[in-house]
Amino acid sequence: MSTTLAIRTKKQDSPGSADGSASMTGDAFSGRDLVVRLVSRDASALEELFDRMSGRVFGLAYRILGDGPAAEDVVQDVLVWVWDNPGKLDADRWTIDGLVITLTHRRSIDALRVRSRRAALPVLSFDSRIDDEVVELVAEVQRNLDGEVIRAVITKLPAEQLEIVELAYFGGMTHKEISDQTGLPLGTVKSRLRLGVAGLRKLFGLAGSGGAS
Amino acid sequence: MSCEDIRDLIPAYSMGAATSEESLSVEEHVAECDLHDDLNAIAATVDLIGAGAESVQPPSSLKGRVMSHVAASRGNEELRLVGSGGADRPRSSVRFTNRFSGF
Repeated sequence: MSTTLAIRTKKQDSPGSADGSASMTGDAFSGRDLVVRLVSRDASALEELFDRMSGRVFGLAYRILGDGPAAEDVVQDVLVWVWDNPGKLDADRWTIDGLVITLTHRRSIDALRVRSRRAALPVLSFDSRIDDEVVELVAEVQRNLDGEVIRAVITKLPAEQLEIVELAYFGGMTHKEISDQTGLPLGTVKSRLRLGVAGLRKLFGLAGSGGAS
Repeated sequence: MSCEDIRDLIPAYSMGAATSEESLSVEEHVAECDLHDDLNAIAATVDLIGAGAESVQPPSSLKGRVMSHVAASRGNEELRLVGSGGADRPRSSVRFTNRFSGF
């Protein structure tokens, strides 16, 4: 495929570059060693993962659920899943941070939809998303952008797009549910979500990857 | 559905916020279309939204609960190893083909 690793060119930028793209700063730790140790059943690796990630994933689960005990349950479920499924970890393919964040999001949305008596949404078939170059690209962003920088980037979106992105991502809401809640036409919801994600892609420096949006 | 219809659905699909029908439409379409690359890049972008959530420290008791599970599972593993003569070692590396499988 013809993916352009745009993020690599952004790595040399200084913070607050003129085009508003995210700059690469901070920790270059890949988590590879941690995954290898988890696969070899080293309990200290999970403890290290907890120390490194529990604040971020608890914050994400709490943002979605608004409920401390429920967020704790999610974090526990995710880390226990990581420990119990060493055969599904691959140090060559995923950053452990990205994996834990994605699992936390999925588990939190499931819990939120159950609590609000909304129908469960389908499990995302991930096989179609496996692509070496894109995985490498996002791993590099995750390694180099801290949460504060990512939050600052996200808030650059136009407010009307950000609202829809947050309802979908943090609220686990479908287009129809967002339309019902906001009173916006379905087509407007779809276009704002699409524009919002395209905008984030550009702001994160991923706009050259994976074809046109 | 046309490619444009599918492009409208890909962001929600990538966030796990698409209905069953929408998800099926996306998966069937991208299997035979170059939107597959688009899906990959958008999914990567969406992954970063969660990485930007504000950090909140959980109660200190949570770490103990997680590590208690580990201690219990290690105890069970040791019992299994004793029972099998110690020959059954975990695999060192297996392709992770579906992040959500069994979760």
